[in-house]
Amino acid sequence: MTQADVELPAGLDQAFGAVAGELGQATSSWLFVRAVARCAGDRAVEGLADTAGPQFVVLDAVARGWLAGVREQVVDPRPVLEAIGSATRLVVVGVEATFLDALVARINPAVKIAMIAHSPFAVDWDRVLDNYGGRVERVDLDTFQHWAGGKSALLTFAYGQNDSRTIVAPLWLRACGADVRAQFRALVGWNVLEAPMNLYPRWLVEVDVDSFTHFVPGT
Amino acid sequence: MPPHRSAPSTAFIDPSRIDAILASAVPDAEDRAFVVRCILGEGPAHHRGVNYVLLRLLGLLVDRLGGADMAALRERGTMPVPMKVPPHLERQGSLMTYPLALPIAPLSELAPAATPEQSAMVECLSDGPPQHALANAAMVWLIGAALDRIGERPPASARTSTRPRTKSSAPPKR
Amino acid sequence: MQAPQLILPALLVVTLVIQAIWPRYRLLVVLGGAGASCLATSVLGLGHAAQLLSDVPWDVLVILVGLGLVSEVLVESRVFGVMAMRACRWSGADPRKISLLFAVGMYSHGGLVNNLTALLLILPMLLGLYKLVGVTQRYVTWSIGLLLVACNLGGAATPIGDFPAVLLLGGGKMTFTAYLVRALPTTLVGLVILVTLVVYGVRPERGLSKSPVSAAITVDTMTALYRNVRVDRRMLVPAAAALSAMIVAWMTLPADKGATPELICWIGAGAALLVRPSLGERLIRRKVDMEAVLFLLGLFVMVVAVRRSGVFGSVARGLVALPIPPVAQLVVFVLSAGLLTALFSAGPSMASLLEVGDVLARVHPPNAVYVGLALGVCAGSSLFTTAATSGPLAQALTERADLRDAEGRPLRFGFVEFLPVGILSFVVIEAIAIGYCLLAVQRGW
Repeated sequence: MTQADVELPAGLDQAFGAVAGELGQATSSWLFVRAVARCAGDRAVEGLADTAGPQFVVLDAVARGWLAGVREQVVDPRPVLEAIGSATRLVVVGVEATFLDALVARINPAVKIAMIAHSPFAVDWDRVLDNYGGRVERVDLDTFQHWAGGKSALLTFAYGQNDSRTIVAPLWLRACGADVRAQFRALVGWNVLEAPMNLYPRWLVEVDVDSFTHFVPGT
Repeated sequence: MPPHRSAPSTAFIDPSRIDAILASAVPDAEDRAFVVRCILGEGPAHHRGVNYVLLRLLGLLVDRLGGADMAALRERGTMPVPMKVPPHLERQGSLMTYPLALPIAPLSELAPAATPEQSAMVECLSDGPPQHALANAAMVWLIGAALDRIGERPPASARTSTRPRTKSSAPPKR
Repeated sequence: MQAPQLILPALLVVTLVIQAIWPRYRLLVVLGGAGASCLATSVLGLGHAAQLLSDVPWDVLVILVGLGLVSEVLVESRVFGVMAMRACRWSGADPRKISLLFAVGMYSHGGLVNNLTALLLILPMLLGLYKLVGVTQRYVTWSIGLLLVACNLGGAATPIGDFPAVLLLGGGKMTFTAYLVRALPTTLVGLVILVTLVVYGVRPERGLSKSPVSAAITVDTMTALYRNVRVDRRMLVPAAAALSAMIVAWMTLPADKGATPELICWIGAGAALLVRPSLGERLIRRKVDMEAVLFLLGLFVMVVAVRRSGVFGSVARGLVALPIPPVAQLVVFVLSAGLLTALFSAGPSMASLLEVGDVLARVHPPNAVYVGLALGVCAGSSLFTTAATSGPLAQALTERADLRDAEGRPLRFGFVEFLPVGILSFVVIEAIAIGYCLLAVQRGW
């Protein structure tokens, strides 16, 4: 059976939804696109974008970017580390496994890290945190302010930038209200999507880039 | 129905000016950026505008009096400006405070230190949303520095007379 | 028949029926039934509540709680999750291999940890795997069904695997070794037969698309989900050592000299928990299955009350007096165990029928009676989803996972879906149980 003969199985949208919450939409998208390309070629990647893209726009963006020649994911945590600066506590809002892994590997070991365990997808939070061997703690949406302070920073993942607007998980808006903004010294957005999104961002929401104290373009 | 008023323009706000004014009160650049953001970047537009105007004016006053000696003010004691997180989320043992503290020395002009009156003053100044509390603290720093400068001046009787001279008999030069 | 022999069994049966019909109120019902039994025995002059409570097999409860806590320590070490992930990778995301590997894995786990713990660990991960692979209703029914039955067989394979076997150990009916050398091979035969029939006969994966894309995505995803998850050896080694020491102690130390099974369990579990005292304290406070403990306590009180009425002895004598060969009496006993378990679940059936079994054991080889009973209960647990707590749990987890087929239709695992699996499993396990009894009687095992 050649690559060209391999058809895409049905139900890939269900499969994507099963992991998007735990790995992050960008990380999951790259995983799916690479697997599909490896097994079935670029035509199948286009099919993936056509079938699952409308529901998962990040997947659509990564797949279309792949077809346009973007074959590598850019993961550089250094600008994020600069943005975090001398913060001693970091609360992560949202999940992107590839990027968070890179950040955790480089960040000062003295910095305490927490992740808000909240997602519209079903997530095994124990498994998510087990991957960090105790380095990342779990906090909830109603208790993460316990981590606030003059040396605390908030970090979320952004999906593309279009002029002055970017796209983030709705959890960011829930977490980063007017009260919280003045309780964390740095509000960092890390763009994890090189290719622009062409579809209406379901599962996500648009915000001003200026709402962050530091926006890391990621490219 | 009254016409809807749009928020006042705050285009005049230049954060770098306030950053410069607070440089010696908050030496760390990242801490200072956080404080300046809270004072000028959060809250309703008119609060931000008011904060900017008053801090600039006080900054000018201090400059004309010869500059601020924040270190001396700091040595005479400060109180933390706490973050208003829900009480059950406060971290015990280390208060969640802003990098800009409230100097106590200027308040001692109004009420003796460690008295209920002064404590009440501290509470009033650090209560409310962060843009109020931090702006209040910044203003007390500047007012305190100004008072110190004025306090260093010799009394009026010891200063050179400034009364106008009596008319001389010599005719004015042409 | 005297009044106590009518009233007390009626109380027990009515309580069991009501809690089966309204499982949401099972604790309330069972504890209420126990209270009513205490009142009835007191009024009927058969004994006070304190006497009934003193007859409760507290050793069984200690063993259940202790083993449950040791299981939780093993869970904290992440060993089960890592092993499940490796099974997935070894299978290469082949649906047939997934069914086979997880069934064998659940059998092994079921022998060491209680069924619910094993299921709670493995099933969510498996359901996530099914979403990645893409499955059909047929596959879900037979693969999850086989998983449940394998779990039941594993629980019956060792004296510590599940409540019925623990009851035998705790009650001193059989030694650890005596039960293990008889039940383990028998249940293993049952597992092999069932796995062969299901995996190679029924072939649940028929109709699934065997796309290499699904396989690649599944393997890559599982690898990513567990990319840095490691077994915590600091927790695993001491817990495994404690469990191994307990097993050795059960096999070698004489109970009549004071080294009773519950004492060994208490000390072993305590040692496992002391490895990390803060975790141990947390597990004791939050992870003891109080629902199961209270349910069994209520049940034991009612069974003790019925025993005092003499009904069990009458039933046993009736069974022995049946005009059929002695071996046939044993067969009737084992079949009855299966059917009663299917209707009333394993706990009540085992507790009640053990009383009958004690009488039968005077005229039949005791090991044949008790192991046959345990296997009959295992068969009954595998007939309906309602026969064991693991069934409704599997149903709830499957619903929560919102599994769908390629056409988007929801996939279910309920009473009706499980029925064909249950009937096949019941027949096979009962056949194995009866076969064992016949051999045991013939060869004097």
